[in-house]
Amino acid sequence: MTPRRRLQWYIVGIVITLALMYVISLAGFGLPGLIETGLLAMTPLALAAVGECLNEQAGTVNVGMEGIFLITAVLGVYWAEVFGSGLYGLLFGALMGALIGLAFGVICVYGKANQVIAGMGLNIFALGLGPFLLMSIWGFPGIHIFSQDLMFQPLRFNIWGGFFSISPVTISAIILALLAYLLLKRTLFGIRIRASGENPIAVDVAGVSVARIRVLMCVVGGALAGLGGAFMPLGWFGGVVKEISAGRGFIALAAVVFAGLNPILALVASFIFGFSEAVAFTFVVSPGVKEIIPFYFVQMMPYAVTLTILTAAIGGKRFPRALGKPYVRE
Amino acid sequence: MSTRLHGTIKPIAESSVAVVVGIVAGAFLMLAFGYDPIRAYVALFYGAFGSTSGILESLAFATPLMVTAVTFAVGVRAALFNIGAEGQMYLGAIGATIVGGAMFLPAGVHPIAATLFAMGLGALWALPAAVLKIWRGVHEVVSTIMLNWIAFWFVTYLVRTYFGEPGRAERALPALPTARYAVIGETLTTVILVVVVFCIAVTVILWRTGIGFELRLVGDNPEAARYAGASASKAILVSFLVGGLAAGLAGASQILGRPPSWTLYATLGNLLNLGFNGIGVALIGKNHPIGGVFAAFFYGGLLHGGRFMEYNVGVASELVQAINGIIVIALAMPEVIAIIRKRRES
Amino acid sequence: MQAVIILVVVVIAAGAAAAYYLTIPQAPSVKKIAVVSDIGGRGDLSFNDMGYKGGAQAEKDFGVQMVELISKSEADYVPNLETAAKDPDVILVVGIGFLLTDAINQTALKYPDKNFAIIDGFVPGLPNVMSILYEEHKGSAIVGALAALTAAYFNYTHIGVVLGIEIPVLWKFEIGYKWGADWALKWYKNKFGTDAPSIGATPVKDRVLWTYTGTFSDITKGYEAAKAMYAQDAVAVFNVAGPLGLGLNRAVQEIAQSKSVTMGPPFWVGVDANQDWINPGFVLASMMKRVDKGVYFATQLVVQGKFRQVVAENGGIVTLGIGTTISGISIQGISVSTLADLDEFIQMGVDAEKLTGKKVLPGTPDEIKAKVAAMRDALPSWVWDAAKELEDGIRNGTIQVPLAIEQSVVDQWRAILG
Repeated sequence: MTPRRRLQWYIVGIVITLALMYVISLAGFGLPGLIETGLLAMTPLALAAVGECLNEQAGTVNVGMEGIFLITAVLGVYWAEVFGSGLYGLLFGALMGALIGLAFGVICVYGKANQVIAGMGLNIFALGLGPFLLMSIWGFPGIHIFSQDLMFQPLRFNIWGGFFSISPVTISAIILALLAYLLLKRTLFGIRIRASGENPIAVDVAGVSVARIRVLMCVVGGALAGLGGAFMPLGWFGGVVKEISAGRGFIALAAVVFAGLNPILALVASFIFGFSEAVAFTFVVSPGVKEIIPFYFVQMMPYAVTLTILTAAIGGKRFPRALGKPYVRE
Repeated sequence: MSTRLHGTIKPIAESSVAVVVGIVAGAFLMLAFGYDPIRAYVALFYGAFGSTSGILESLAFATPLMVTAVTFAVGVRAALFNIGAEGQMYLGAIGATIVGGAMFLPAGVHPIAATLFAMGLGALWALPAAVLKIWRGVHEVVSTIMLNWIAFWFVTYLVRTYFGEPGRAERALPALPTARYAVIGETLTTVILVVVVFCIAVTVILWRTGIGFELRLVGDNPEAARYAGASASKAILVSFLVGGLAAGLAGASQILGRPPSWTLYATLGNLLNLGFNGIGVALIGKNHPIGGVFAAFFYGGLLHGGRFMEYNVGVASELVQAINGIIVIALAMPEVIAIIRKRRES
Repeated sequence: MQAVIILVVVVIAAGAAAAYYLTIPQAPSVKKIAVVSDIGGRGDLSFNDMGYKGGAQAEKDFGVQMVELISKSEADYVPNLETAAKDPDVILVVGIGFLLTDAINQTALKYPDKNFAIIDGFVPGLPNVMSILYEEHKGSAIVGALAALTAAYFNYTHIGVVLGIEIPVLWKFEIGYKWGADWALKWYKNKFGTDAPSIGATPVKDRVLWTYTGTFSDITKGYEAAKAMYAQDAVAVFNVAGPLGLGLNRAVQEIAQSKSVTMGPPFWVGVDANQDWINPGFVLASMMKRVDKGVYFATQLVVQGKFRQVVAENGGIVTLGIGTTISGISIQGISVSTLADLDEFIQMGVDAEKLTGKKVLPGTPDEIKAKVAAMRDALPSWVWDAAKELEDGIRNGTIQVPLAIEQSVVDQWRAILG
């Protein structure tokens, strides 16, 4: 499919979404509130997805984002309490994510580990570490609510006849998506990243270390996922539970695939998934509407849509050729 | 030492090293938070393996893992990453519920029919991933993850809407007494025999039949396979189907073979993560169905033993999952020692 | 080859350590009570935590040691119960939650000498099992009435309820709540001669927005469900999903911040424990299900040697409600939070703070009490009077709240009340 056709498809998709929003607002379902919720739900997804786009463009696939979410959510809260500030919690959450990304990168690139298995291992590890940390740090199993003044406050604007709030983290996610796109498409470094995924031999021949690029992208991917993970308790829920991510890491993965590793499209996909989740809840509590679409099918949507996109191969080739293969110099 | 013996000991040694790495890492985690790792591990292993009831219960936890490991292992043998055991298992479980809970059949036939139906549904759910791979080249890691979650919501929907137990909306129709496997002790039933036989059967298929040989050839050496006329598509299809049958059996084992509830909870809580843990088991078992049986016993012991660690020492039993994860990561690294040796030489 | 040698060394070392530890003399035995929790586990601020609270109180008062076993999946129920039952020091095994019913049944039959209790489970006829049930429908009716009248006073058109997993226990909450709301609006009409404003004008079947989220642990669902309900003009949302209350609270916080108010509307209603202190001024009240008293009561009976006798007298079923008496001992199993109850739970928060050194309460105890009192005063007295009238009627039996534990009964009531 040519880039032009692809663009046309995406415009169609965006138009449909906007039309849906208009219909919803007509039905009196409180569109600004839905958009707010959609943006909140989008933020962790988008951050992880953008990071994973960079990751995969360089040739390393990390299916362990769910695991990173879990660990950085707990640790982010811990650091927020240590420093007494939500901002520090977010920053250190990102730092923890970066460290995990570094470990993952080293294991995969230098340890020549199988990336998918290592990623799954990370998920399993986090499933255990999260609750273990909750119990060990705070002596209280399963949940930890922290003081409200540690919350990272959103910005509030007085528009549309009411208050509209959006978190600086959400805005950062949007900016980061744009930056990542520009990085990949318009900078020399971006070309090297993409080449590491497509044709690592060429990069090596040019004298640039494939290993360093891949590990660096793993660190960046981990940092972004870490920020997303820490955002959930500190910017959204006000507390951390052992299942705080609830499968969002996999939705982020779906968004990445859906977007064909394009960071901006990953952002859009994240918003669509987040928004549809918010809408689903509105349907589910509205008398009369809840019978129309069973809730479970709406929950299925992100995955089914991604699978369909993959099947129809909209957008042509989706993955770099050397994705998942450790680079070995012959 | 003879190559044959070396060929069997080396993989066992490699897996054991990874397990030790995981356990040691777990010990460090415990130490970091002031727990006594030795007391904890003693409690865990003694609780899991130190008494008859402990062993029986460990086997009960191990049973589904033996087959979800096969799902992954038979995929790897064909150079595929089938991580769809979760979804295929859910479908298997609902299949077992339908035939085992909603249909009336005579006592001898009932468990067999329910098990077979469950396995069939599991295989059915594995088909889309196989077809998409063959037809459109869709990478099975992504497709199976998507299918896992679709299955999760779909089966949840079925349990809540059509197959819920009347008056007990939190779970599905339990398996009728005629459909249940006989209880051996604790929560272990004779379904483990079916599972072990299945693993043996898969071993036989892989190493003693033509189709198995083709499958392994396609996985080991695609070039040679092509020259030999082995069909990659057939290998992919067979691998996914066998994997689906295995996962379906795992699902059935939890419905028809697990007291006291003999049912599927609407949260799918009694099945969750059995598929993912199967990956770890397969890796420890070096992707061999029989190796998987032993590895599953070990893993099952860990899963069961965690509660003793928690009861006696206060360490959150979830630490066991963390240890499992580290073992998986350690096993993801092939020949680490060889790499270290090479670097030392160069 | 090196790997094998290392391995053998490690195994021998491990074996030695194990042997050493097994020979260390054990600590002198103490009587224990074992509390086996459900999969949601502790940290729900309500159900399981209340069970823990009861055990902790029993520890203090009776000198027993409480040990906990947390179930990670349904497959853990029986192994956990067995582990507890096998321990010779354990004098009582308590299963917290309806989902443990079958497991308790199986284990109790296997260990007839051990005493078992189950909260919310129904295991009649076994001499060693006490099933402790609650009359949640009665408490839910009272908070339903409160919520509906609050909606009338503040001119909102709906009230809401967010539920967890659809189990028969939760049906009691659901139908009780809806019935109570209906009762209150009829009471309003009776007292003031006209239909209540706003919510009174909403068709009966649409008044209560409700959904089962299917989880007792995914907070997001609580947040999103509540947010959707508040967006549809619900003045108060009842939390019947444990920790999801955090999500409800989040939704309320957002609205409060955007409207710059320090007390509701909007409100949420707490469950099981007294949750008024979590966000004082925004929690209308809490429907307290004193699981702690149930656990405490069972322990007390075992310590006093009366356990089997009480089980036999009551057919194994003990139902705790409003103003109940069991075998001569009076227990308040269900109540709607009052300012007096607040003290007890604030003290828990203070203790927790002392223990961990971290801030738990959103203010000083006096600040919290002041805010809650202010919120209550902001509501007209007739709202509280109506609640009192309903409670008194329930207590003396003149008012009957429907008890819905069968699908057919639930369907009947849903057809009427939505």
